[in-house]
Amino acid sequence: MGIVSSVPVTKTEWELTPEAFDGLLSWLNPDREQAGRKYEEIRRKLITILSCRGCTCPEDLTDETMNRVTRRVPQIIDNYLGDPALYFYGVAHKVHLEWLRRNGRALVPPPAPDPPEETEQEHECLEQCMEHLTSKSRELVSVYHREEKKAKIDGRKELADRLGIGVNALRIRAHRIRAGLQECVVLCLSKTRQNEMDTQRIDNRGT
Amino acid sequence: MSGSVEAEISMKQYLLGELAEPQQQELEQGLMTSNECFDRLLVAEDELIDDYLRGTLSAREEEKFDDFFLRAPERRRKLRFFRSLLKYVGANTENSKTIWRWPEFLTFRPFPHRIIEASLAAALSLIVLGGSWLTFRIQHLNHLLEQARSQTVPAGERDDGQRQQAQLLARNDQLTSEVQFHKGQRAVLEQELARASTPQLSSPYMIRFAFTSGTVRSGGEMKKVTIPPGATWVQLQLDLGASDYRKYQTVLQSAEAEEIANQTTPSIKIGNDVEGVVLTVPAKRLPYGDYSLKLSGVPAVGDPENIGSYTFRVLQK
Repeated sequence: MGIVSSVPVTKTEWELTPEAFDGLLSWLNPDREQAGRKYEEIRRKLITILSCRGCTCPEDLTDETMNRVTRRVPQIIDNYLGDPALYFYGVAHKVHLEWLRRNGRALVPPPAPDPPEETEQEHECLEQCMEHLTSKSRELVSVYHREEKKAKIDGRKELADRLGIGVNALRIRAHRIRAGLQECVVLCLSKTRQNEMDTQRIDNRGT
Repeated sequence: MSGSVEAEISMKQYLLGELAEPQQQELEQGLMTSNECFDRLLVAEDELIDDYLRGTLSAREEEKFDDFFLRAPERRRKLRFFRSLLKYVGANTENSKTIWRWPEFLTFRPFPHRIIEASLAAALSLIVLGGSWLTFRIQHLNHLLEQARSQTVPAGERDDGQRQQAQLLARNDQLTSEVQFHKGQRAVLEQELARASTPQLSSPYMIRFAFTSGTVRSGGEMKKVTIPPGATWVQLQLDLGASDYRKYQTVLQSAEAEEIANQTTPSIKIGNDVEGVVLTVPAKRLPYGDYSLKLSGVPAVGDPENIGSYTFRVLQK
């Protein structure tokens, strides 16, 4: 088995046109806004599933899947019964198998350790993003991750009781706060890098 | 074994690439059709990372985590994020029970260092209490002084009059100096209070300015901002009000229409239930002068739509 980090996906020759995209959206939902949401939801789920299958380029395979389904819509729209999401899933499964055939069950090299300055920047960004949270959300995240083992379970149960929700609902709430935080951190990091590059450019221009 | 525990175990096996093909496909179909199931998977993913970082996975699970789970770049990013999060929580655990908070109008965000926060809280409380006591004391002394001034000497007691007058004058002097002393004390305390109330730099190198919707858009009064000499970064926060786009474009220009920064990002939470966008620029790119910030909403299809334009003046540092 070879070592492959990220293998490009063979793209279809077919080009996505606005008309074809409109057709896809109409199939997903007559309301365009809801159709757009459904599209995003399917895309996100496929990326997650392909990641879970150990795929190293889940976004590329998902885009290929979306394109193939969009192309097929005129033929299936009248006869397909059931949730369109399952049709996408079926196509994604096929795309993934093709990818495996081309690349084998490739091993990926272990991820390189994070550069220390990057970790430091991430921590600074996280501190900033934590301050953007409401005090309740901040407290929830802190308490949720504070303890270990038995104390962790008890702490979460106590927190859920205090909030008047079940432990599962608490886990989902904590996940959503974390997801928002992570998004904020990614944004902050990209800005910091952009600013550093800008500063570097200005400094270079000055010298 | 209860259904939910079984489901959790399946999710964990799935995430580690250990679930048999038929169960995997069954689970994946559930993920595609049920948002609840999908949410549970995301939670299971988070908890797997949490367990990994706390060292509570078995040796075999740890191996699968390294070899299989971390293949996807997104998961490696998530692992890094969790590492920072746990570090943050660990560092803030001891001081996370905040008894006192800065009022919103004093600062854009609470102080990052809890010890400083607690010290300033105590200092501010003392200043407020001390100030109140001094106000009361000064009023009381003023009242006594007035009484002393208005007191007249009866006609038949002229012999004792001069002595009493001398005593009153002495008392008057004493009260006057006491009032002066307390006024001086109050002035010192007021200065300290003013220092404590000055909006702080949100970090040693970054200063933040907030632009709220409707108050500073062009056509209104120009906002003036002063960047302190120590600041190296300036963060401009734009409150989006009721706007609802997937992404926002922010363009910062000088008065000469020279573009200083241009970014397109989704909104983030910038306060309690307040959505906004944040633009961070090096302080040295904002010398004294006038600037405009153009905010546009980026729809899913089509060109950015103008939402508003904010103008502000950077004053001499």
